[in-house]
Amino acid sequence: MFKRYLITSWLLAVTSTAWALAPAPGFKVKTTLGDVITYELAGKDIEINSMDSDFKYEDLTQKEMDNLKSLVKAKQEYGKMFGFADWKATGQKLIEKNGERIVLIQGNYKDAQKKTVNFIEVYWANPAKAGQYLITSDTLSLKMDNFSDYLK
Amino acid sequence: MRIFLALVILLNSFAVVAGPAVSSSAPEETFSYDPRVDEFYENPEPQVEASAVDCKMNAADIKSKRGPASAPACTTPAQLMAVNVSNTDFSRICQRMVAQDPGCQRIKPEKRMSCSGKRENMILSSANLLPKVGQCLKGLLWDSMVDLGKFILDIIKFLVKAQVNSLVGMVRFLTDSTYREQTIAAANNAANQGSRLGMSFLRSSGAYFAREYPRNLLRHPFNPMLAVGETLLNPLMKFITESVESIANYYIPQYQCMNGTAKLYTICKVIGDFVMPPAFMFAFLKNGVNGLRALAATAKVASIRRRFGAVNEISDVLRAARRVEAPRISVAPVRRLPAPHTPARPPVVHPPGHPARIHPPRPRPVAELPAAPLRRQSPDDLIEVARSHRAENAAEDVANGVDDIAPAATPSPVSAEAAVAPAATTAVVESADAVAETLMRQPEFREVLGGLAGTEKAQAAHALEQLSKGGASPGITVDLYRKLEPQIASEVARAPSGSVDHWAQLGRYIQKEKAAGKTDQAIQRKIEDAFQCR
Repeated sequence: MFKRYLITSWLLAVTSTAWALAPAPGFKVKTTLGDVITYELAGKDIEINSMDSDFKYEDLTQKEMDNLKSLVKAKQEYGKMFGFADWKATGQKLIEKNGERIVLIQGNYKDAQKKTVNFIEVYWANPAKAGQYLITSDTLSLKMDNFSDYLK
Repeated sequence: MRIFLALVILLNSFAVVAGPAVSSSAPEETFSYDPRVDEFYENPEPQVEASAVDCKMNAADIKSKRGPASAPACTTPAQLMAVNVSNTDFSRICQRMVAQDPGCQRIKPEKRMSCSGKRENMILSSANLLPKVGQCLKGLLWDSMVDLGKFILDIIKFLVKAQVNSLVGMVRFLTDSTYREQTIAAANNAANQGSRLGMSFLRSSGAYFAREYPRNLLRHPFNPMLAVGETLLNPLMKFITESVESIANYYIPQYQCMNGTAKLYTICKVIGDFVMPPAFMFAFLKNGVNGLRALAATAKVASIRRRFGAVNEISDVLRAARRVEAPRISVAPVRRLPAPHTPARPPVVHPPGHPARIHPPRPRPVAELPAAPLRRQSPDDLIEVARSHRAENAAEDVANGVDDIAPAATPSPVSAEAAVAPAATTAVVESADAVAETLMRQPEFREVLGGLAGTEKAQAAHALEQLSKGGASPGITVDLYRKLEPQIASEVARAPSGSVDHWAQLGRYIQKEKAAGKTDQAIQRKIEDAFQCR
């Protein structure tokens, strides 16, 4: 009986994680602050922050993505207040394949020392799950087309 | 089964909380400070409360008909401070109130609210916010930086939910409780709170903050509050101070009748007694003073209430002693308040003809513990100044009486430095003020000293002064200070007693080398090699 329970739990765990986007193998948890988990890749200047999300699969549409443009100014104001000044988006894209939708935004901002930090924001959802991630690097130039190198 | 266990371990590893492991190389720091924040402070939105109308009408009555003695409303200092009245009206109502309010009567005149103007009774002027409140909040938050980080993430969520999308709005949200309540209520009632993707897009600001915050903490090991960034620093401190002030106001009936300086002093004393519970700040953020009431039943607040009780009882004992006897009661600073109250000894009855100024047996309502050691020692001369100044202050405080607030108790090791004494800190600050003032004229030194306060500023000013006595350029002096400071601080911490003044030694060394015709760069290289910090 207990063995069957264990197998069931295992199957559930495996299937549920297999369906969610997660940092690529090699990324390890570095810090946790509230609901934000920061992962790092040893020896590489790259970090992934994952946090809880409220959006759903049906929210990831071209129209919703276009609406984000009206919030860029607000995002920049948040940036000034919370330590990521001069936030700029240099590109965005919606990908839909295999029952998943992904909104990608790439760009850069200035940290407290005025150093440029490159980022990709990833909003991912399938009909059952959703997640949002922030990939950042001080030195690597991140391209949104390569986001799947970091999130699998 | 092995595969299963391996998977379980793998899955669990996602929940592991790891400590920060960021490189601590700290290049020069600059802040992007938005001038609109200052504009906001200079032109805050006027706060009009319901009672304002009554008070204004009564103030007019006073003027036109009945005169100051008959002013019927604004019966409490809190009410008066909350309303908008002209300075003249404020003075009239205030004078009457101070004369009649029993709470006000219990406060010494020099600590009592000033009737010459409202501003003097407020602690939150931009002039004292950073240097004074920041100094006492620093100790408070020393080991709560993770909680503070989480709290800021909560603030971001609140701001997004309340659709506060401008910098000025965010500052106002933190600094103006009326606006905060209105926006939160409006957001709760709004049928459509905006698109879910849009809200997630803004809420991702929390991810950026979570990335930068640990890095900034490592850059400010001695002043972790600065890790929140300069734009957020002032409004956040104002919010925290407001919440601490509210708790003081909630538990100390006389608080509102104090002038600004006495309020500040009280707050710093009160802060010393407990580490700010994040739950309290969050409750205050959400529901203001009502949040406090909701929290009143919790264990944490119950413990705070007991401590306030102890503070008041101790004050009563001291007051009783003062009533019986002379103004020169010498009581050493109390370091820790035990919860239970120890009754005072009965007053000594002097025989007739006994001189009035003989001291009674000193009331010892609480155990006096030795002062906690400094986490980082100041240079010897500063400590000496601090010691004597502290002794003077302690006697003066009790004799003059904050009246109702006993000396601060000491929280855990968190604020050991602050615990050695606010007075000690004050002394160091004061003794180094002139030095810092002079040094600040140089932009290079201003950059170092501008972000510091209190003991750290004093220590930095001392170090820079000693180094610059050698005659090297300010740029090299600052560079050397930044590179050597961690090593010298740890050396001083390792051997605090009787330790030499390393900075003075270095200054003398530079002077000698300069006299021998060495260039600044050569001297710098030599020192850096010696300290292995190049």
